[in-house]
Amino acid sequence: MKHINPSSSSAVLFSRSLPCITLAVAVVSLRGISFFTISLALFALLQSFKYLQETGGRTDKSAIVTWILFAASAFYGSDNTGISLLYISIFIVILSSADLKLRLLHLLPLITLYLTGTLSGVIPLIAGTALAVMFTRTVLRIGIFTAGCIVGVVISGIPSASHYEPVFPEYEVKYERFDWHDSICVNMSHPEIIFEVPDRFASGKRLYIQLRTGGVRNNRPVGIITFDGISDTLSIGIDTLEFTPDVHRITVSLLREWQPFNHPVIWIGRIWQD
Amino acid sequence: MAGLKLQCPVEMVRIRNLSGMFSHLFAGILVFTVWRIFGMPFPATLGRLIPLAWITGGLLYGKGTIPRTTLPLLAIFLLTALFWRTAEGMEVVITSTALIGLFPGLIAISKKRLGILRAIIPILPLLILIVPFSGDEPHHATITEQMVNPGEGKFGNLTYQIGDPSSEINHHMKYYPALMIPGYWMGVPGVRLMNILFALFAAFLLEKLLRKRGYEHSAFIAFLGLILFPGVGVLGLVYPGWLVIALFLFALMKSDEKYGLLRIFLIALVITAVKFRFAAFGLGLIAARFLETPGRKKYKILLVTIAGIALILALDIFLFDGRFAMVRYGNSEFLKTIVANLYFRLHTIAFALVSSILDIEGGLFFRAPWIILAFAGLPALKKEHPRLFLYLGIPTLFYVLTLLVWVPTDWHGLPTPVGRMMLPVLPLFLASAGMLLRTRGAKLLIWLSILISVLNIVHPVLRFNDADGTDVMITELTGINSNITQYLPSMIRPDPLIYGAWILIFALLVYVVAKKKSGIPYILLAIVVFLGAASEWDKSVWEAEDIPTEYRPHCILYGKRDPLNRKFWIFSLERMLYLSGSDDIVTLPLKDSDADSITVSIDYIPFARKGAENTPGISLSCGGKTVYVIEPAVPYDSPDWLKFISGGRREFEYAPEFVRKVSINVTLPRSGTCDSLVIMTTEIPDNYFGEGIYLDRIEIH
Repeated sequence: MKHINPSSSSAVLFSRSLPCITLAVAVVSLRGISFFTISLALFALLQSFKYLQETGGRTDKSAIVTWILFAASAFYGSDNTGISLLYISIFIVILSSADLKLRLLHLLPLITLYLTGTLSGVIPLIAGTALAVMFTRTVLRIGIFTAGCIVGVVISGIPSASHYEPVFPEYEVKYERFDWHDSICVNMSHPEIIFEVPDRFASGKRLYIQLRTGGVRNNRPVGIITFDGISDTLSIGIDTLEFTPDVHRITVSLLREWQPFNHPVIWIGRIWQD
Repeated sequence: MAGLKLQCPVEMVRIRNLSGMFSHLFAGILVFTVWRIFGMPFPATLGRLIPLAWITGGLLYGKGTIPRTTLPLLAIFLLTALFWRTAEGMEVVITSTALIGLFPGLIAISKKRLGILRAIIPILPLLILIVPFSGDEPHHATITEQMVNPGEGKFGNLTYQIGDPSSEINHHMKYYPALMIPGYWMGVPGVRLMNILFALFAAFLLEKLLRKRGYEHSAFIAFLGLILFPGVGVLGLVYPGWLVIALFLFALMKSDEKYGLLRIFLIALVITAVKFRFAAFGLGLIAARFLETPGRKKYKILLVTIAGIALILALDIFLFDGRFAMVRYGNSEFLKTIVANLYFRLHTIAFALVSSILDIEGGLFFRAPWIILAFAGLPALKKEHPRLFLYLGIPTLFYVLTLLVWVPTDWHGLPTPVGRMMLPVLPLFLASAGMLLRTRGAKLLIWLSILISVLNIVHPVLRFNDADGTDVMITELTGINSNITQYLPSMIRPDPLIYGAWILIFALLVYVVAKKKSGIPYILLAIVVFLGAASEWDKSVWEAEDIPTEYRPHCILYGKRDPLNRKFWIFSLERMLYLSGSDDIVTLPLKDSDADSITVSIDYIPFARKGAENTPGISLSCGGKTVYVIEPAVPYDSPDWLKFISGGRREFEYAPEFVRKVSINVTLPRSGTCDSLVIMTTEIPDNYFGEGIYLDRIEIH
């Protein structure tokens, strides 16, 4: 494989870094300015630096992996999935890169990404990464980062969203009766779900919901169901709940917080009217 | 000591040789443990089956070092697992990253002795156990059951299906279900396992065929056929596609031997008996032989073929009472449909041809980007392996064209797995893509396709689309509120500009690969960055059926999800949003703007019951201003092709899907309080169910 010496050919240097610069500009101009887009653009810019600094312009395997994660992040956008994937991309570059300057520079998008403020529980990971940056040996960097992860998980659990938006499932009408298609699940990545019952279908008809609740290792309530100002807890097991006519809004929420070896979940298997 | 010194390196080499096996076993335990500690979703299914796949992969790995990409991919899984709670979308990401790290190992296994079999075993449970038993599967399996244990009901005793010629004659023939009898006793996994065997048989034959023709990575290519779309979509499911490919390749392998032509004839007949749809595939094989044969001898083939078809049709009429061909497509009505489609619907057929590649729901490109290699490699295949090109190309062409001419709006077979109907293109595409494996960008396209396959393996519902204009996989990845769909090509909601743009992108990608130029990563990255950004732009175009529930809490959708129920909506297959009563209100948010007015363009169908005095109108409000528009309901005329087929008898039932769409443009003043557009119907006196307006598309500027 031919190595390109950055200092010997400024034209090659420019052509190699041009796509990254274009990408950074495109991200900001297409999406507008936000902490997320700044992080994304900074990350894209730093990749051109990484190419030239470490691989002499070649695309190595770690770069391909990083680019795929970057692409996925750009695809998801400012949704927490995109933000999480960008965090992961930055961690990978910092942990795998041999160049100190490059590692230090990658702290910049990490900081701007943190400023988005949509994730909680990431400080121990960022601290672990910041500490790891200084070490030359890759194994040491990975070790320190892992230690940061373990401390973080022990203290504050795994990262989560600062705020979860409720999910409104789509519904259909079958034989003039209200129906939510497919089974819907409430778990720790989307802990609240709201069913809005159209007036026309709420009036005079009883509504039934079949629930399967579980994934935990004790008998404490797993979730809570709220409708028209009334609440009831949901414990492990399979339940079919019957609602009086004219119920308009049903909220199912998870009560449990993250705990190792627990997978709290509420499956809403079927909803139907008589 | 001297002895030890000599032994150490040998032991080290032995341990090193087993590092692949041990690392996969260790990875399986690690994935299982992390899944538990982090409390990840689906612990009972994916949380067990994915670690099991790693462990089985380890056990079958044999000697060899660990592939270089396995550990980095495993590290990515660990990192993504840490973030799984942060968003709903991360569920798809973590489950996919948990499995994708296994694939470098599976590819390494596939190149070893009995490699294809060994490589597919680890993912077998995922392929067989978690995919919903749906579509034609229970129907095929019920026929199997009727042969060995009638009425047992293991598969639901499904006795009728849309398309059955009569209550006594099933739409499906019995030859293919008969082959699944050995698996019947194990229930659904058993009949599915039989189909895995058919697929493996096909893969072995393909590997042998390519190896004979001098392909360097024949095992890898054959394995790719199994794990990439369109192959993986029905891999292990009760559909006859893989069996047909196996039979086809068997005929091809034996075509050079003594009685090769006779074998081709017989296998073409067997292929037709397995599923009538594949008759053209078999016929294509005969056509390839015809084209290859020199001199007058070729006309003997033509005569024998015509005589053979005539004999089969005659035997069918006189011996089988027409149960083989006549009740299906071996009749004059079918011929009439073909003629009508060719004469009146050429543009629909041409559109179907483009859609079979580019449509977001049923096309191959978005599920299998590797087909770019296949298209780019066709000239090389023709140049270096002209005979292979002929024998794979002609049957594929025959099959695809017949399918599109026969069912130009239903060629995709949705809601069954994406790509099912296009399975016969696989041998040609693999042989062609195999010519360019070392080309720039090839690895990226293949790994991108593997990633999409993995998504569809761990979340099997992603392969079942409803032919409603939105792709389940894209919706799962970007959320129901994303407006990415409007930038993707859809045969259900065709937009010439979007289709044109994607045709250009596809052509550019094929050109870049064919000319062996660099740039594939940048083009793909640019597409992804653009689509990602576009999905978050302020929404100005709303497909009514995709409007989120919170903006239309009391309105319902018209047209069922299952496209079979919309099959005869010949003017548009789109579902619509039905507004009838005073509660049915659509409230769309407006983006901040200094403009003093907004322009709203709406496509909708007004519908009133027969004999009603007035047609319901549409009401648009912004702030305090309201505009009413009332348009008459005008039914469509019967199209020429339908008149031709039905002899002018056919009349539509009076239903909204057969009424012409109305397009209106309204300008509303925008005052300070106007932050949303409210859409309703005008008053409907008796509130007759069905009467009202059916919204299709709303554009706000």
